[in-house]
Amino acid sequence: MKAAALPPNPKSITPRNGANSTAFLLSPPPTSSSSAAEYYEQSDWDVAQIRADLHVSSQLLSDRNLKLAAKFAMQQWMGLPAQVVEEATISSASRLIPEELLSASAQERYPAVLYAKTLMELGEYAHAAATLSQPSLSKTTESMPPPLEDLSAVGIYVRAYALYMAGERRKEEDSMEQQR
Amino acid sequence: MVSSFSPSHFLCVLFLFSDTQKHVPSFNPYLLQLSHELLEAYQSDKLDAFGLYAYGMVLLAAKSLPPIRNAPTTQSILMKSILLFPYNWSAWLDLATCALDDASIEQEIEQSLQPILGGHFMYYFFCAHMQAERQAHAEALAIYERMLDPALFGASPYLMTQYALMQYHLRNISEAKRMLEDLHHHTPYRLDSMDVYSNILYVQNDSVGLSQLAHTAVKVDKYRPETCVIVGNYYSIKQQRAKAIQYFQRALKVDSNFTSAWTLMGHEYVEWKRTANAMEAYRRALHAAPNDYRAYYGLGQTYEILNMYMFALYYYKRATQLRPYDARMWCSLGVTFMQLGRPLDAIQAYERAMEQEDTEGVATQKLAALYKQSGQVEKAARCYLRYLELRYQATNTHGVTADDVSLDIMLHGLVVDGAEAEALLYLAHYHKEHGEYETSMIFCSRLLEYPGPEKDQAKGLLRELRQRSVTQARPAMRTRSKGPPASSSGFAFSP
Repeated sequence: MKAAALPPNPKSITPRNGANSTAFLLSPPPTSSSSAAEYYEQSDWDVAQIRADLHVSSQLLSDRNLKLAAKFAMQQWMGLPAQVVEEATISSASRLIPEELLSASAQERYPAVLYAKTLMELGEYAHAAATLSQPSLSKTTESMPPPLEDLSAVGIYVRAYALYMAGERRKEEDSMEQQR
Repeated sequence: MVSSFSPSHFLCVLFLFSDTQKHVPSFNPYLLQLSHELLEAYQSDKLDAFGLYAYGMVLLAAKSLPPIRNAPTTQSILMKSILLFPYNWSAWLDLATCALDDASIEQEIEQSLQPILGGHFMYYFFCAHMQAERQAHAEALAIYERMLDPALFGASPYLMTQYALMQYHLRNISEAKRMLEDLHHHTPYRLDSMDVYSNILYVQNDSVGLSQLAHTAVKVDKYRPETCVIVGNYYSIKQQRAKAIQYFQRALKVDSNFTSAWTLMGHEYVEWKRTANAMEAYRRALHAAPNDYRAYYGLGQTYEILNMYMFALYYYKRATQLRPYDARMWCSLGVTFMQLGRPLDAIQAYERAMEQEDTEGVATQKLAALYKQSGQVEKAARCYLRYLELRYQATNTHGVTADDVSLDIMLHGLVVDGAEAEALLYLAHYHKEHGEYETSMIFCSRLLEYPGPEKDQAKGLLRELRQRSVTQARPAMRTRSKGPPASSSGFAFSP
């Protein structure tokens, strides 16, 4: 019988289901512990702490009108196992969320900022941005004047986000006009 | 592997640019102003985590504008925001968009974020998301599996959907379908990714299931892009092309970046034989998602239909680069090479296809024919045999592999069409040339019921073999083919 060179028997080649193995692929750090349970006992995987963080985060994200990010955070909270009673005494202080962030909205002194927030939530984006901008010299709505002096971090954020969204809406409207 | 080609490649690229200019994108009129204002606020340290996120968002959107002097990079701003507040998934998603455009950023991300957030679940989610976007679905699946531990995020609808999507992309369709079906059953109001579920139902030709899904989706929210895609698929399965396209367009009106609606619309136009519209749809898909292999594959198919094989080649090559583990991409590449009269390149393409799972045997059969044409007899024979094995496995119902049965049983378990007949005849000749008359006769006899020219050739061959084996002493043979040689007394010889 002839023992000729044959093409590789396909059954012996395992299908490659991943990306090119020599290319860099961003991955979480490798773990030394083999069991997931062991790994989860380390501090970052403290379920009670995660629960508290997600609770705080979703409120913060909702407050800043980042609805999709808030929904995402809540979904993961829904995914956590049922709350154990002893967790009630967990401190809400998280090393990952700065304290000033949590109290920022409550400490806001400029009523305009809180007013602009409500406008933003109602979708009146350009109106919201204008509330936090300097008075316009002309009656035109073509461009937005610069921001008010001394806006807090929250104020700067609200104005920037509202102005960005206002621009996106103009972009959508222009694009719809074109399609007609 | 395959040689690159130049002049027509260049032509392809020119063609591409001239076409996308038909669609003039509109822009956000406040970007420039915001870029300046936020740069100043950043430099004066007035931005909190959310201010930084807003700045990052603006930088990302303003990429096409000329850069401002001393402005930081988009990724550096987003990472600063994330380090101050890691629970803003929108910031992570925008960071992912940056990295997908420029792969060198990924290492920067690892260096900046991993030391601090390396053990944080949001970082894990982010890595999984990046891996999925880079088509490393198996690796992403591993991360999702760990997260779905009941002690951790076992009930997260997001994770369950992602898990199902990875299975879908890895083509474990039944597993993906099971999970999506479960999710839909438990949370019928959740429409996220239900368009993928509708794709699965479409591919499985389940018009009843698709109809039910469409009815539910419409009741939940008529105007979500997912709902519109589901309804579009429903009309498509009923062959109502115009309505299907209308719904895909509706999906895009709601969200113009909903890539799958563009590609599905492209497929629909192809079915409807409107190739120009199909190409426009696929190009818009690429505009929204430059790494979507379906759009490249769709464009390749459209150009193939138009007999413009050099263009088809360009797009199929891109598709294989994005999904090197998918046999269909390599098969299409092989077909195109054949049309261009490049059999050697075609052979290489089909060999790559065979390395992946070629369950229907399409690549194997084409490869065998090419080996035969180029005179590589041993390889041709091996391939033809492999092709018959694959056809046996594809058509038999007991999940038995070809290894478990003898040659005779396998051949009789086959449905013999033109391609199988060609294979059987070739192998009959092959074994005859090697003096393996018993084996050759097995192949010949299988052709005797086949209503085609191969039957007569087989009859002639059998006659010849019978004469030879009568005049020759029968050696103790161990053939390379399957199982023990059947006895010759069972053959029906016709005069």
